[in-house]
Amino acid sequence: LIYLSILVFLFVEIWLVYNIVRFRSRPGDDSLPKQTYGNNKLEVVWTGIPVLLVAVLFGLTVSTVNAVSAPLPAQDDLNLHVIGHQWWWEFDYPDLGIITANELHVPANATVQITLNSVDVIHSFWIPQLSGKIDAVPGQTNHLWFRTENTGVYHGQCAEFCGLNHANMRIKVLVESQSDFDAWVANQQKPPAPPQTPMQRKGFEIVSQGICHSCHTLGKSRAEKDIGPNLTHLMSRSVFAGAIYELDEDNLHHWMINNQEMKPGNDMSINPKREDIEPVLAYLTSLK
Amino acid sequence: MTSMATPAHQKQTLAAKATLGVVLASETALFGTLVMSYLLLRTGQAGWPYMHPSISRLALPVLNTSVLLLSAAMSWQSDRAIQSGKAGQLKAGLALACLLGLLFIAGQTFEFTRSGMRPDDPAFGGVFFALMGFHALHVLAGMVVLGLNLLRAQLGDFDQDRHTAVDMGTWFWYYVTAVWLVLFAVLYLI
Amino acid sequence: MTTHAQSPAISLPEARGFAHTHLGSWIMTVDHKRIGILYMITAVTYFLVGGIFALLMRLQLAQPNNHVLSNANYNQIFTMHGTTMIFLVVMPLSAGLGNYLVPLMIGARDMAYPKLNALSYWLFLFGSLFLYSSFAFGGAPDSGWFSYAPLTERAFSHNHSMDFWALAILILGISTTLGSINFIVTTIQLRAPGMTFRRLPVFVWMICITAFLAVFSLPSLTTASILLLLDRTIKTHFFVVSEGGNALLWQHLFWFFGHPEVYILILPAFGIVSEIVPVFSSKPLFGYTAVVLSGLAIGVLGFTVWAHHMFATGMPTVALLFFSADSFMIGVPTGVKIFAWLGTMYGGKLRFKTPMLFAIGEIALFTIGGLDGIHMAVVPVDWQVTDSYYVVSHIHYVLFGGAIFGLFAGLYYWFPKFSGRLMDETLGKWQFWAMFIGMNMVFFPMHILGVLGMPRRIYTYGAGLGWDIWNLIETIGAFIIAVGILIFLINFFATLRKPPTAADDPWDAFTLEWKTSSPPPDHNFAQIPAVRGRRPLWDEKHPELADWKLEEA
Ligand code: HEA
Ligand code: HEA
Ligand code: HEC
Ligand code: CUA
Ligand SMILES: [Cu+2]
Repeated sequence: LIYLSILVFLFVEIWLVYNIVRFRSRPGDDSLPKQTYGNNKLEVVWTGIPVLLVAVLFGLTVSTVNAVSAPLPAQDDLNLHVIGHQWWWEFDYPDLGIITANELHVPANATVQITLNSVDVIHSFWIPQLSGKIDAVPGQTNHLWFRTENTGVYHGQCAEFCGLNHANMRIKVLVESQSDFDAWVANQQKPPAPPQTPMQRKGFEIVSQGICHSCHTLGKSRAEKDIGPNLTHLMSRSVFAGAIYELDEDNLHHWMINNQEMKPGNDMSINPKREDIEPVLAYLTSLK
Repeated sequence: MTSMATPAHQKQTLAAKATLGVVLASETALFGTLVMSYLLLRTGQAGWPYMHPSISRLALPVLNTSVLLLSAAMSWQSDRAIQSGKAGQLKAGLALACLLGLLFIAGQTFEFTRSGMRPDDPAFGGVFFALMGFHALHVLAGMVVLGLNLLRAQLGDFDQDRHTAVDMGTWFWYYVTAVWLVLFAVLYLI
Repeated sequence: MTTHAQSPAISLPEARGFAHTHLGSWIMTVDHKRIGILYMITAVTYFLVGGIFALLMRLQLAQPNNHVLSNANYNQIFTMHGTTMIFLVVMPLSAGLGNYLVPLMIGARDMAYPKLNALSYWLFLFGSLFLYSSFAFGGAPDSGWFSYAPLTERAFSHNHSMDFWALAILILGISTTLGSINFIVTTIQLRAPGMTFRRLPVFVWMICITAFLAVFSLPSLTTASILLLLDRTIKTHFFVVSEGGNALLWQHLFWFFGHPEVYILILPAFGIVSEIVPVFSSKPLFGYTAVVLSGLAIGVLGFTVWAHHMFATGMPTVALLFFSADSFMIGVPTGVKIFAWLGTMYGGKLRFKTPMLFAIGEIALFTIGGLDGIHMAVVPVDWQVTDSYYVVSHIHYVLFGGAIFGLFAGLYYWFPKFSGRLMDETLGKWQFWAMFIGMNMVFFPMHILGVLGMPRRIYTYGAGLGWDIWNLIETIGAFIIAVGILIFLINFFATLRKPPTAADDPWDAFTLEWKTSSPPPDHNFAQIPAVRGRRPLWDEKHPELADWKLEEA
């Protein structure tokens, strides 16, 4: 395809430059050029060749589209349900009972079968180095699959404009060896760590019953309140808030104090009360 | 048309026809996209056509449709009258066509309220409202045109040779009627 | 500019006093030439505004994690940049040129409906000011130039910005529809004797095809914006999925308008190039019939490709392939035009005046943009590059390199006709090179960024993705373009201060508008000219080589 384009491009531009150089008018030459009006044969040729070219292109398109859109369901594919939210991604592994956000873990050399939804506006799921993009459209389920090869970290991002923080709706993808992935799965499947210290216990109460509870879920595999990310294994992730910040204690603290400053206009419209911050933080940081 | 029309006048008639043609083409695109929207919403909907209970009652819509058809016939009548120079019949026809148009609008309004649908019902109410509303606006516009023609007829603007505006008004009125027939089929029959 | 005399047909008795003041004569005018100039001046002004928005965006994107603009501001600015450039720059600039030139080129005294013409302009101005007034009422629209629902629903867009957008689009749509009807009727009705359709200048053809496209495609946009307004005001649910609406309905309605729209934007520029290239090659257009027919083909095909903007929305395979094939096909007639221009230049005697430079620039740049379009019509490629900077690159190669370069060519070409003055050639050439180089610096790297995975419409990006250097180059390029535009402004104002010394036919041109004086008198032609061929002026200047002799032979 690229070669074809370059060919056409070169042809046009070279002819253009040739014309420019060859037929520039010379001073003192008043003669009139030959008045040619057209040439049917030539015109048919330069209609015909593009027709052939696009026919070839179309053939290629048909075969690729068929190859790409034919789903290859296989037993050991990893099923993944991706849900777009303003402005973060939710990842639901239905077969493994795991729900997480922003950071995606998949094994290497595996086929990942994705179903896509959105709860609010249209988003688009794109990890450039792994696959093309498909929109997450509310009220419609779309499919996408890709194969992973080498282990590594990949960068992805929401590609359909979805409002204020469209630029801050990123994805960090970790393609891991099977054993690393299994270990990750085992950890994710555990229930949330029980609070140990009194401070953590206070935090636990605020998070599980207080203000946080109305938007965030702890523990359950299926979120009941689907507004904010599931917090069960928060600290097992390395990034948060649409994968734009490293998840460390300082940033989390900042998030508790003023999340609107970190991600202007995001949908977490409240911060915990001053005196609650310390216990909440103590509890959240224990959620490994 | 008789031979008395001047070339300039003929040219104007041609311009008026071309203009009306383009306008109606554009209107067709407008209603076309509306109907396509309706069909898209409808196919996307499980359980649609869930015949709204009142949609299946055809008596009133059919009555309304006949009122509009009758009105179109009146308009046709008035146009024929002026072509043979009968200004009196022209006025009567225009007035009747207008009145019937008004009756149609009243009927449509009644139909919409009777059906118990509201624009803010889940999609069907909205799209029903939009289609009927758009069409009703066109009927109103048509009535304004017919009304103006009536006024001009009263002032004696038209005779056997000069009646382009009447022709144009009549064609617009036909068009509005035809659109309704399509909408009727789309909304009530399929 | 044009003379101050008032055309007698329009001086309403009660407005007489006012209509004779300088300002009043412009406000009350129904003369197609003055309305054309009003359109052009307004459009160029908006071009500067839209360009300043572009510079702001480029400043913000020059570096990763930059803080020139907040996300809220950036979103408003790119939305207004796109909306302005499309609806308030390219469309009215074409409308302005068309207004001024169509009657002159077909040998008429005015448009078919002069008052309607004035109404179109004032509606346009009102609609555009209405759009801009949103800045003062809680914020400008911020959902992109195609305003995808459901993001534009009240639930996600709380202020009134989208109401402003939808209403303004409605008003602008009405203005364009009225203008288009006028163009069509004028061309059908007012051609000079002998100006048959087969002799119509290509520019007039393209304006007419454009007008037809507008008349058939704008209703779809009208429907869309009315449905959106209904959703937002009386709470219907056309685009609200949870209430039986459809999230993709908007996209279908918008792009059914949107794709014909892009040809509305480019065809007038193609028309201009088809006028300029022959004149500056001293040859007739190579394959007139093919060029006109390809324009018609583009117009018709343009209505069948809209869903190539929606390849990633999850369409059935058949639909994907259908829209892909159609989009390929549209490349063929476009190629016919490109080759016709090259064929015209071939063997000609080329004079590289500024208009010709811009015309050649448009051929070169549009070809790149068009081929990008073909790439994106390949569905799997589009899945990768849609909504990335690759698309942004395509847009600007076809719109900036294609439409804007073509329109600048037209402005330089016809400026002596409008004003009686020739713009400075040296400055013109500087402007061309600044724009040409700057343009490639800004928009070529966008291909690379798109392939590297940079999505469009992001106000910020992280460091370390390999995007930084290209973005910096683009920002520098944008300022080089700005220098080019500044040169244009200097040239423009400096030329207006000089005495009007240009000849009636300074370029040794072919078409009727050059037959009358520069600027033309109120009624354009003392006597309506009779036409015997496609190049009436050529026939007059070279009777022994007249086109009609060939036609008859
Ligand atoms: C002036 C406006 C203009 C023009 C003329 C075009 C012309 C074309 N466009 Fe473009 N397009 C836009 C303006 C325009 N476009 C805009 C504004 C958008 C983005 C909207 C948005 O999302 O904001 C867009 C987006 C867009 C997309 C969607 C991308 C996406 O969002 O994923 C696609 C996909 O198919 C596309 C395709 C094409 C094609 C096939 C052509 C063809 O008409 C091009 C034909 C021309 C040539 C092919 C070159 C010359 C031909 C030859 C030299 C002959 C030889 C050629 C061959 C053998 C192929 N365009
Ligand atoms: C005709 C159409 C047109 C034109 C001419 C341009 C011109 C330019 N565009 Fe634009 N652009 C679009 C149409 C156009 N654009 C559209 C449709 C979009 C999509 C919007 C969307 O996503 O919704 C877009 C989006 C777009 C983006 C992507 C934004 C994003 O996705 O986040 C960018 C980024 O660089 C950009 C840059 C530019 C630049 C640098 C120019 C330059 O060429 C501008 C050159 C002009 C100037 C530099 C002005 C010079 C001014 C002066 C010299 C000042 C003089 C001052 C006074 C007298 C007061 N454009
Ligand atoms: C009004 C709903 C709401 C409430 C109440 C709320 N949150 Fe959130 N929270 C959100 C949303 C929405 C996000 C996602 C923001 C984004 O990234 O755009 C979020 C994100 C977070 C994150 C980052 C998670 C990640 O992985 O990205 C943490 C941690 C968090 N909230 C903690 C809390 C705590 C602790 C409380 C209570 C003190 C709380 N939230 C109350 C809505 C809420
Ligand atoms: Cu989500 Cu953009
Ligand atoms: Cu398109």
